[in-house]
Amino acid sequence: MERNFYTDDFEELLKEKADQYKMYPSDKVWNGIQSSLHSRRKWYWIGFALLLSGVSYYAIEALIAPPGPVRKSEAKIAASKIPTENVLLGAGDGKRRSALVIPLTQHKISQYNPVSNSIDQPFKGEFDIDRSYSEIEPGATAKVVEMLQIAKIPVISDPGEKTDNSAMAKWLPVNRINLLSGYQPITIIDNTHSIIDNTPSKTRSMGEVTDRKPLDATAGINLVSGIWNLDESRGVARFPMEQEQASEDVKKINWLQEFAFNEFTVPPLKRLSWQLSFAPTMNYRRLSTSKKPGREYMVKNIPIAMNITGDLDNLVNHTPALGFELGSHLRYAANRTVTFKAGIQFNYARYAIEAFEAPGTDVATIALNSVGGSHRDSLISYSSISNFGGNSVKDIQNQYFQLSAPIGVELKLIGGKRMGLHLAGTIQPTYLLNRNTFLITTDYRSYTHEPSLVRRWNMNTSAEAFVSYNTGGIIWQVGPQFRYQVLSSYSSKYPIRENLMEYGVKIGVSKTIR
Amino acid sequence: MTEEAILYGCLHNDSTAQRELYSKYSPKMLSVCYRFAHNREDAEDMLQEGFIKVFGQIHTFQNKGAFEGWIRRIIVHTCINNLKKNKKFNESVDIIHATTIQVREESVPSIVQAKQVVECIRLLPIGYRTVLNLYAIEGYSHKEIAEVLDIEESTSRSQYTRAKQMLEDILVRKNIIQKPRQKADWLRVAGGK
Repeated sequence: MERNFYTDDFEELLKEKADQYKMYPSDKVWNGIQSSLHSRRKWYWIGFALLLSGVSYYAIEALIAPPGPVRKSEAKIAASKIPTENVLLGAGDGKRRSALVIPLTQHKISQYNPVSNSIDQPFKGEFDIDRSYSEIEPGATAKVVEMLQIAKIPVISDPGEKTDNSAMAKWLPVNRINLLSGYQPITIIDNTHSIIDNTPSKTRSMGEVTDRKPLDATAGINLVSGIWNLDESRGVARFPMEQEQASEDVKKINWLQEFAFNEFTVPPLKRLSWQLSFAPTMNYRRLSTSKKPGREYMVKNIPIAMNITGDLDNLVNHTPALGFELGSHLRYAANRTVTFKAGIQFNYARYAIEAFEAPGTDVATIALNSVGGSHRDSLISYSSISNFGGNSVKDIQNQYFQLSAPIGVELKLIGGKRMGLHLAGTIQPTYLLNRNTFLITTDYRSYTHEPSLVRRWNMNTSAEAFVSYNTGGIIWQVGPQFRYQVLSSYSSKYPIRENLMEYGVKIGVSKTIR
Repeated sequence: MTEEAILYGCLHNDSTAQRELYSKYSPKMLSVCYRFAHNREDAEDMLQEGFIKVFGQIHTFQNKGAFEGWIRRIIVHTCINNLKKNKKFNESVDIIHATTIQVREESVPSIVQAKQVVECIRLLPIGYRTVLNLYAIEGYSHKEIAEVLDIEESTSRSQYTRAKQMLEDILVRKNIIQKPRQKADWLRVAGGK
């Protein structure tokens, strides 16, 4: 203080009594200070860790873990329609000539006891497929084998191959679907050939080739059903034939045909997908002063400041620094060219400033913008960080932790199903979660903290180009990206505008949802 | 904890050291804020904001001068910035307001109490009060006051003269001090307590 102290007794009294007086603040004050210094940072990192964990979990769950068996979806469709829970509809050929019905469960065909007319034990036999059937339906055999394997029903790979289990049987179409609870039907429907001997009284022994008698074509598709009889003494299963009534068969076949996957159509465009992206970025800023009338920055607001003029970017020494961007988006394909996307994104932006350690602590004055020059205002603080020179170099960093909600559009320029070249753009309403920023004083002499001048809400825009590669439901993309902050980092009161910019290489992976 | 240990701890963001520093200096600093603020709530807000700045800028303290004085300067500037930000400091309004000051004529003990002096200071209009606080109590020169408050130096001098006169009148009317010419006698009495 410059003046001579205590020149007046009255002033001495005031000073003495004012210094004697003490007040004790409420706990609220310290709690507020604590939360500002510590908890905020803690909750920010907790929030960031939760976001990262959630995104990583869904990424691993959806993108890396293998998809479930196909039959689950098929079984779902089938299970909702079929009266029995044990039937899986399989695929046939495209000509509606056959459809396969395979047991869903792992149980084998049960052993039927004709005396008690009940199912006693699971049939422990194995099934051979009549390979000659494949001459008629080339794909059907393979499909049957696949589905039996899914149902964990052992299948002999070569015709005639015997296993240790002597209870072998020809794999034949068998039973009604709703025959008995727990009974596992296998049915082949074929309206051109029958591989079943439809003589009711005739039984067959294992190993015999079935006589093939074509069915009556006018009867349409015939479903031949029967009940296995297990001949324990011989270890074979006998199959007394029964023939269903044609009308009941037709009804069931029609129903089966309705739900069997016997037509292969072009799959519809899957519109919705989820994308995870990451981009290392180089961040920097552009400084400028407001040129709006009535908001001109005047260094002369500060009476004792030097009048320094020049391009602001040349008066400070700042360099880009590395940051990153992490995002999660939902994408909706309007058509094969245009995709809309929206999501959430975290950006860590920073840049370095070369400043100096000042010899002492100087008054740091920030003159605030006045409207029409009618009322001048300023903020005063103290700083030991100088812009123009000092005892030693002191590197400081401005850091920004931002959360954005990007909304944008992607345009596919060229490419096919596998690869493509795209352009994209977004607008990103942004919220500043946290920051550590040094503001330069309006006389350009010092750097100081002034949180009240930092803008919380902002707007960013981005533009990117990328190449995509489709690997069956998962789309990888890589390409350059540029992001620009539209509004200044600081409020309009602060006469110096700062616009952040960043560029980087964005890597993204998308998975179709539906 | 010694002051050095407190300073070291605060530099390393140690919450124990920060609490220690706060406990040591907050009572006096709150009274500083109370002299600038409209009410206790505002004073506590200023105190909170001021200490956040103290902890944020503690690395700039260079061990030149008293630590308390350094903290006090930050607190005072925080108070002034707060008044400016909330537009509670307006020269023209204060002049009008100054003529309508009402002083309660309740009986006041003859012994001078610190609280009474502070409360009397708070009765002044905000502009007068701020200049008086800065000049008479915080020891700022009129030139420094002019810089801080964005006013002319002559304005600071005239405001202080008026503030001092008004405060003297209030203290006399509240029987805290006698007539100005007997001030020396009263000071002798007050100094003995």
